[in-house]
Amino acid sequence: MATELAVAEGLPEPQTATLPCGLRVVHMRIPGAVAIGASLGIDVGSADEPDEWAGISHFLEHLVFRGTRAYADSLAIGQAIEAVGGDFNAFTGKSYTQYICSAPLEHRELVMQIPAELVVRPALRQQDVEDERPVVIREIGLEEDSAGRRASRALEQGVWPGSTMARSIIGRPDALRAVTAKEVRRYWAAHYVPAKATLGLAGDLSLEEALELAGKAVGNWHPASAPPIPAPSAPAFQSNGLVRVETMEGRQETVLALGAPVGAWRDIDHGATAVLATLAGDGEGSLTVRSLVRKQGLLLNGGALAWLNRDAGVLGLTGSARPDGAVAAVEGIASVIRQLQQAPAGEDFRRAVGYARGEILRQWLRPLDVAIQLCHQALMGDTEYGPLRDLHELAAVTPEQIQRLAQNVFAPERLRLAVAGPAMDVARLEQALTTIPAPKRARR
Amino acid sequence: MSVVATPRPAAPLTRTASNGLRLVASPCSGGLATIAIVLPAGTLYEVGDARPGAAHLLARLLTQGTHTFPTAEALAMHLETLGGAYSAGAEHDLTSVVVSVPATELPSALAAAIEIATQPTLAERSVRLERRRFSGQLRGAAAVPAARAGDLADKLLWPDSPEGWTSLELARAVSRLQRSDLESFHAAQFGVSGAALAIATPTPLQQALASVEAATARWPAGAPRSPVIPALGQERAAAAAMAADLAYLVLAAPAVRRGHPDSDALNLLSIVLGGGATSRLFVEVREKRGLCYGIGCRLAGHSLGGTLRIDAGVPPDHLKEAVDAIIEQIQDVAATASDQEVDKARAMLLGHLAMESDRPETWARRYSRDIVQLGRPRTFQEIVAIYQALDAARVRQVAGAYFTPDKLRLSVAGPAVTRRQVRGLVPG
Repeated sequence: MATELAVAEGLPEPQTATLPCGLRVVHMRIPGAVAIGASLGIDVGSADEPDEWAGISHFLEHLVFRGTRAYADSLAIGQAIEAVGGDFNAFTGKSYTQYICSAPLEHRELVMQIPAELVVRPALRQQDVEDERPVVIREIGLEEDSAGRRASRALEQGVWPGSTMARSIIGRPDALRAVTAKEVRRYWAAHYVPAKATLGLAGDLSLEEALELAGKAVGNWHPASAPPIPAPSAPAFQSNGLVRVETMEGRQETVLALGAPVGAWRDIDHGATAVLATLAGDGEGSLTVRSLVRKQGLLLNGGALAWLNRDAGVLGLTGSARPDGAVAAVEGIASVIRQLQQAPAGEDFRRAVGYARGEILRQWLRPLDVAIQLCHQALMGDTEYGPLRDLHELAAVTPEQIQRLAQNVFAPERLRLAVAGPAMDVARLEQALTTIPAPKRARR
Repeated sequence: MSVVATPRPAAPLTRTASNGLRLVASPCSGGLATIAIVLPAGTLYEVGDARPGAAHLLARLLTQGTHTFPTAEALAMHLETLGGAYSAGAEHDLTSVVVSVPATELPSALAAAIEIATQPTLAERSVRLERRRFSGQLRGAAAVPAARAGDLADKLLWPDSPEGWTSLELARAVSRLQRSDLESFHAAQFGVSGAALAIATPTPLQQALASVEAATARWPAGAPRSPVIPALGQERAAAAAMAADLAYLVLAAPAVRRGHPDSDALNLLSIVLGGGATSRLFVEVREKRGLCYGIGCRLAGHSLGGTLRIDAGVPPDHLKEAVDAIIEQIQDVAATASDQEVDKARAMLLGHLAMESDRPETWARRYSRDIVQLGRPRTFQEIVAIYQALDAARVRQVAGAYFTPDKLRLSVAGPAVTRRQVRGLVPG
């Protein structure tokens, strides 16, 4: 079946290997690709932090760009890769951090070397901490000015009260102002080790060549010694009922996010989840877009919300509405949830599967995107990787599975609503949510 | 310039169909194909009896029903079941339609893409709903500080042109539009004579072009209007007091149209100043001073004009320091832009473009825009030759000519900011 799909879609399959230092490598050869992409990921994110160090994973991700053993400062790192037409960056999530780099294929050695320098040999000097601290505090300012980010943050607090997952990835200014270079180095030493790392690679090169280049880039990587670090601990948020509100004075648009917790990545049926999310809100033909945006005009924008992480996830719907139409918009979203709890119509199901298939093909195209996806799958604990696995999972989904999943996930007692915009009447929003009935459980 | 040694996308195949439609086909690998249609139907063509806002509202309605698929739902069910993704949007000088599908579904998607451009239903109910939705989105954007600062900068530069409309002005214009306004704009601007269609496909190109020519044989002629050439405004500072954590600033200057002799040198200048992590603004304003998270400089050029624009979100109590630091870099680059900086900017531009070739839609989008904006597609090899001919002296020259103090416009949106305060920050 996998081979048939591979031929049908023209897709290569990834290969895996482990370097002598313990670093896992997941590689996908893409014949004819102009670029090479690499992502060196570490199995640590904001959910792994002690609360007094809130934001340290993301801060560390910034700090490593301030200098490494081979590159004195951020300018030297940037000049090395940008001078050959390449690009580099990094991002931090709830449970992992990825350092990414891409360039035309002839610069493959550099594409491996840059992430390795950042992860294995960062300088982490006190002056770097002082220089980078205001930059991250400005980034927090941007987040405060974004209604979408604030609604997402409020939903995280609503669905995960008492959990480290509820903490914003970017952290808090008070914690960032207090953190020292010594603490950052301890955190780095505890987590940035080969056993917690994965290198995702994609481009037109063989596995043998990839392994040789990767081995040379990371060198003799062994864990640094440092005092133990505090255990992860959760922020203190009140669960605060069904609805959380972020008031933003003067705004003329209200952002809504309705979601329910789903399990850890390893426990999720990914094919069914992808089809459910697509049915609900991905694409013009989804229930949310065609009904609430196009037909009824209740939402200005809308879509699915699927945050799937190593330890916990959220599935739901999001959108924006005129402030005076926010209650009607929530009622509309509730009606979509009711619809999802029924068996999907044949044409809706076929559209969702078709669209999800197209999205897989689009996601597994550019070498850098492929490297990021491979790294992501490995860090989530998967043992099989690549687009074929995704297509395989998709091909096995049935309409009955989708209905069961929707009924389980979107049970009213599990749903939480987060809203960001001008001041609004919370009681009316809560009332709108009560129109979601407890579904009759489908017989197995 | 080792970046030039990388294997390049093969040359495209071009053809003018018997009805005058300009076609281009580009090879690509992988399982996807892309169709891009571009028409001279941007806001700058809203002249004469064409009503303001028509280009944007019409573009948003193109995908909400066609002759064969009369509703948004029918069209979505058709294309998305095939695995397709599609969009349509208007800009200052053009409207584009892009459809991406698994290559096996190309014939079916091609027919739908052509209908989206040529036979939208523009149903009365869809017009009413989209008009309301679009004006709601625009009012929402007008209350977001970063978007407001951008609006104000455009207004300072082009106060009497559609290019300078603020979101609120556009919202008011859109709410007055009728279906007949959209039909007449479509009849005039969406004709075959000004249009271009590009296709990127792993299937044989000659065959693909023959299919396109057959499928577009009955595309109506149209009668395109002449566009408005925007006139520069005299005001140089604008402010909007808004609740926010940061103050959002935009420093802008008028630039040139795509294809102008200075256009490519200005593009390199924008990268030297504010492209990537080693640009002057990033290093000075973010890395050294810690005044912002992101800062960039961008040349936005179209077939009739262009703008150089720098934007950043900074602490309100450091606004003056940030503006002074940016202006210092603008003035300095005209005197000191080095060969090394220009080489790096060129490598970035060409490297990114080469790497984007791994996505089929890249060249379909580029070629179709080139035909409408420049008259013909520019191949990768031509782009390389153009940029290799530019040196640091040329970049310093355009920096000195276009980023002079008298040309700069500054807009700021943030807490308690005043126009008087912003006026005091503008040089000259």
